[in-house]
Amino acid sequence: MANNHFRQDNKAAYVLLSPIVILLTIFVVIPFIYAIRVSFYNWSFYQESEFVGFRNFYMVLTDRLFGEAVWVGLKFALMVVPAMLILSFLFANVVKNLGPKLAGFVKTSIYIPTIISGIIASVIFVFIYDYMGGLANYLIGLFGFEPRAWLADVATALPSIAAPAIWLGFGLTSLIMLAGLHDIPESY
Amino acid sequence: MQVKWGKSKTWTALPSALLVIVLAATACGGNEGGSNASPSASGSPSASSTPGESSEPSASESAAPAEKVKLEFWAQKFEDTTDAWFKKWTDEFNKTHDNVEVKLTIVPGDAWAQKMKAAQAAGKAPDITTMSYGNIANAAKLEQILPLNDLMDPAVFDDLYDNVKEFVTVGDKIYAYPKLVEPSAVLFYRKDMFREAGLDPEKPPATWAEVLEYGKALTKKGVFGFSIAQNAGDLGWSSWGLQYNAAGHLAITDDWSKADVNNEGYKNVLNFYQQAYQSGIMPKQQLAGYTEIKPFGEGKVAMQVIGSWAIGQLRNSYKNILDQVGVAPMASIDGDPTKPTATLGGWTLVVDGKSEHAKEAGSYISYLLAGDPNIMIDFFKSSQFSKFSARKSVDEAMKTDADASKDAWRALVAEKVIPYAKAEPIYPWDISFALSTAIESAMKGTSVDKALAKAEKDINDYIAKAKLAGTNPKAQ
Repeated sequence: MANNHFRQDNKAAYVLLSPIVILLTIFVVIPFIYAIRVSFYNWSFYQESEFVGFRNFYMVLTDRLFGEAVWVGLKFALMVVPAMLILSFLFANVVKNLGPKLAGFVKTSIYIPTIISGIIASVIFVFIYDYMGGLANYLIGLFGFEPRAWLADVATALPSIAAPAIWLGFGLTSLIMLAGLHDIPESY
Repeated sequence: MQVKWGKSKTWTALPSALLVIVLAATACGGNEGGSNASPSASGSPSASSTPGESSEPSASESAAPAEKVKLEFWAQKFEDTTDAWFKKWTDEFNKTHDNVEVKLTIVPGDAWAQKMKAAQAAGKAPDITTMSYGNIANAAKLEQILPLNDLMDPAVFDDLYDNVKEFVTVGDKIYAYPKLVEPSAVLFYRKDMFREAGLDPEKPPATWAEVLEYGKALTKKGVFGFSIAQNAGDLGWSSWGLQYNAAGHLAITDDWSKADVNNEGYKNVLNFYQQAYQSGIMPKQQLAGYTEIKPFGEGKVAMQVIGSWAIGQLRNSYKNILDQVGVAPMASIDGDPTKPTATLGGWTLVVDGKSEHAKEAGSYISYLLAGDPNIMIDFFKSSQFSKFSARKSVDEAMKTDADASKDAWRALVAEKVIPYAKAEPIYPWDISFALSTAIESAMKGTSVDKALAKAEKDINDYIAKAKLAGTNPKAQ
């Protein structure tokens, strides 16, 4: 009796799964396999494609710039992740000790950056970092400093990009930290 | 619980079947609409057109007589005046030619490569496209474009200036028809700011040292004395003119076998850019891309090096400062005005290598670019004479045109810049980019020698990997 029901459920399960499986096959699996195949060729739409084996992979992996790009990505992650964890932990501690109404308001507003599209956030920050009219240079100008080319100067470019990344993830991480602070028993 | 689900088998199967059918239908419909409409949707780079748009071309196809040949023409987006000119004369062509219909699509520059690749992959590459001179030799080698010798009347090729004909010739065949030439670097300066700084407004800087000197005198609060390309992407092509000027050659030897940058000439080039940036006469972060006259037009810089197209931008958008603007060739390293300071860039029309209607495509190009000189004069007028003709007959006709003959700026560029301008290089962009990265790092503080050594290594590595030695199409 139990077997019967399982089999009936199976049919319904497969039917319901089939649309997404079909779509994934068409749009993800087949292009992926095709891309792997193409990656072994010197592909041309106008002439005969030439089979070159692993040469394309060799060219990328031995390219100095590829290694640098990977390293910069790692540096970026090293800047964003620890900073975000530490800042949101400290912030969660502050929020934990607030009264309920204020805490509710703060929790909502800190979460808003998470739902802003990354593109919009980046446009806003480009405006903030703008050399001649940006908010950042205006603020440091008030303290008497020279305007800085935040995005063009080699020293400040990567930290400047890390800032919006931290800002976007800050809300979610703070709330998770806060949940942890509330719920994880002291004994741990 | 399980018993209930088991009993309502039909109720689970039926809606799930419906769901599958609905999803499949939207997937297929969306795909077809997307892939059909994406090349024909004018100006919209994304393929999210509705199926309604895809049915339009098929409807008009069935309504038109069977012999009407349809051509796809993709033009890169330039100024609005250029886009309007393309639309106007494509419509005229369609009206006057019953057997051919050309469909124009304007494609923004940053979407161009992706859109072309997608179309080529689908076998739907457009029959006619715009192409810049620098890309022609390589495209011809890869058979991406067809030779035009058999598609157009040979007489139209004799109408081209010799140096421009060189740009579009590979081996013994001509692969593109030129539309215009424009030098990549001209110096624009504010005469009123010169006066205020105590400089003679009729004597723009003639040497690189003077440029730096004047720049210092002109820099004050809110105004930078000088503006030139500052990022590797812009420097890659806009510095070719200065490379020719100081070194007499470009970054690699003529046989494309090794880098040629570790010499006095290139050190001078990097020194100039480095001093310009480090001395504070340039904004530390660029106010606009190299191709925009906007910072100059808004009065934020006193001198700007930019291509001749800026004349059109100034006359169209910044009329209020026009009478204070001076135009001069970019300074030469030692003041010699016969040395090149710019490269001659420009755009052509080409026929796709896999086009099925090559003859008709050739006839469209003949009509638009190689036909009635008035069509081209209309183009040069609408661009405010900031572009220059590649055809002798058009220049002859413009001599009698009142507006054209009075234009002092046009005469200056045509007489003092273009005759000395050199052709753009045809070697791969990676090489130019390696050098421009060196220029940019020198500007930001790296020592010139170190930056050049790195560029030399990168270029030699690239040549080795891409097996470039001996493959120069012009040296075969």
